[in-house]
Amino acid sequence: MILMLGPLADSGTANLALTLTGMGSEFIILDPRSYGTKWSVDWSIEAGQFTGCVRTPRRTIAAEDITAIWAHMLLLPEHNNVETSPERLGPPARVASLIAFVDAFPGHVVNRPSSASTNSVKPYQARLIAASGFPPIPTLITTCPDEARRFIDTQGDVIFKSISWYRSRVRRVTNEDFARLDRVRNCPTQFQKFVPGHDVRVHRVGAQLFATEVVTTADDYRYVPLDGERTMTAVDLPADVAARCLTLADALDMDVCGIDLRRTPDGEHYCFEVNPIPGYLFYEQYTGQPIGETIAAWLDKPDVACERIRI
Amino acid sequence: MDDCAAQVYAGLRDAGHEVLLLDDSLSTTDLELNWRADTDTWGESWLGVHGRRVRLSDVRGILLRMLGPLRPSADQRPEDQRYVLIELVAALEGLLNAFPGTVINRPSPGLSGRNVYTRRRGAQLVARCGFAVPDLFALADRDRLVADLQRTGHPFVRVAGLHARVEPHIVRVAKLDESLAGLTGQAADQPIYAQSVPNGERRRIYVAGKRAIATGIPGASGTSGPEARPERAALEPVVANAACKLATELDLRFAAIDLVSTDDEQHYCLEVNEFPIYNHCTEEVQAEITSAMVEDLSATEEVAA
Repeated sequence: MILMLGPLADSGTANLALTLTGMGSEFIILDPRSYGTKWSVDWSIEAGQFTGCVRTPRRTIAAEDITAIWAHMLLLPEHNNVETSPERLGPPARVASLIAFVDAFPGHVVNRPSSASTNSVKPYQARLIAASGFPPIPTLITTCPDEARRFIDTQGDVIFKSISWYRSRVRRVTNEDFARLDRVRNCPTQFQKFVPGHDVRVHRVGAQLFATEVVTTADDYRYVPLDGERTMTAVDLPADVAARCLTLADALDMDVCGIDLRRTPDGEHYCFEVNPIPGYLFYEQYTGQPIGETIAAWLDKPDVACERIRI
Repeated sequence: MDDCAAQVYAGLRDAGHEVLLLDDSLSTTDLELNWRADTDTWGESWLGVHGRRVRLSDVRGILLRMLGPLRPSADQRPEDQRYVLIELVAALEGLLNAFPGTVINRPSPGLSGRNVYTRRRGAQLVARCGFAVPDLFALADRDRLVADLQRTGHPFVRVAGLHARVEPHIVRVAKLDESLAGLTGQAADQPIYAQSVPNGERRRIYVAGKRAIATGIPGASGTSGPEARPERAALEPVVANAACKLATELDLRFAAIDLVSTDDEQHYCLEVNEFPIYNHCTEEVQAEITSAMVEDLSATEEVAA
């Protein structure tokens, strides 16, 4: 039994549900938004053994019958109160108990909230990326306009982007931006040396990697202007880069993830971040790579041994 | 200001150290930050407030007693206030994890304050350090919770929140219904996190730097009513070592570990608090904990410029 946690409005989750149906796999899909009102989880550790169950109005599923959990978007925008009180920055108590279950569950989870949270602090994840063998990228986080100007003058082409989980459009600093750098006093801003080359998105699914090269005229290939260009092609990674990707994903405890690389003209690979909730369908539709099918097959029969808590 | 921060601040000043204090009187735009995040040298990175800047290569240690409670700037729109706060917290979490000097304690991105047993392999980690793991339950069904707890045969139950939103308290299993009826608001909606507590001596072990200091626990008798201030309790070397090992494994330089030690010398770990307070303890205990943290914060070797 696969436990899928995620809204069907998420195309990746919906596609997996369809694929699993086609495979005849046993799964249940539950929407985190109705957790606590329409369904719940109970769990315990007794005599060192993790046990638990998922309760819905129609059935109860024992934790030991769950082979894997797909956990997607446990925290939704409606969970994020707009109040700026710091206590509100954490998950609401109701969702916190679901997050605790998913984190403590001893079987396979794609991905545990504790693993996924590394992506919410980009410079933290960047250190883990560097530790896996990818070269560091000159980066400045600052509230000081003069320091920002100095960094841009020194590094040449520089992009700026968010530091946290907030999705931001990556853009190169233009002359117009340079003139309004005083605004960084209001908010710490991350500047990074622009790395020339082509983007390579790598999806890791268990032991398999699917690499897609993106050639585009835009700084951020997700946002290509109408007059811009973007081509996406399935590619093979050099063996050493593939090994680094697997090392990195293992270090982050992510069996399924999207790794953002850029290959420079001289063949070096830089890594920007690792996405724990990869929008794999976007790449699949251009390249035909069977990423969704592979994720579904992996959830059905994970290719690594399942661990059970026994102290 | 937090009492712990105030005591350590005073201790560091008394020891002749220069201290920069960033407290909750600051707004998000008062704090200045400049961090070269890709290097292991810190000479170009600094923190500042009200025009005073401190190079991070001149900083030996950082005591973190809050992360986030900076006031939003009144000049910003609410949606901007939220964005700025989230970005600032992310920047500081990244910096505090990268900084090579002493940090008490490094924050876990996104998940600070969570219970040790909800971490992956948390129960195994606690056991590996030499502690017994109490039976624990996270149940939405309260009748079932009572039944399960009665099955354990232990007389007490510790009720807490999974993310510290329910004040932890210990009650007799027989009085659990009454206790749960007192939960209100969000706490009333969430599954109850309960640990069965065996009979035994209850102690709190403060791990500060390399020292472990044991005290009694308020309410340890399991009854309500005023309690004396926790004073120093005996601590066996084997338990002290286990406490230090557990704190180290969790990357905590300051932690409070709540234990129940049974007659058959099993030491059950109920909780590891990564943000402990100690101003309710006797003066002697407070002084020793403060001294241990001052020592830890001062002990770092030079940070590379």
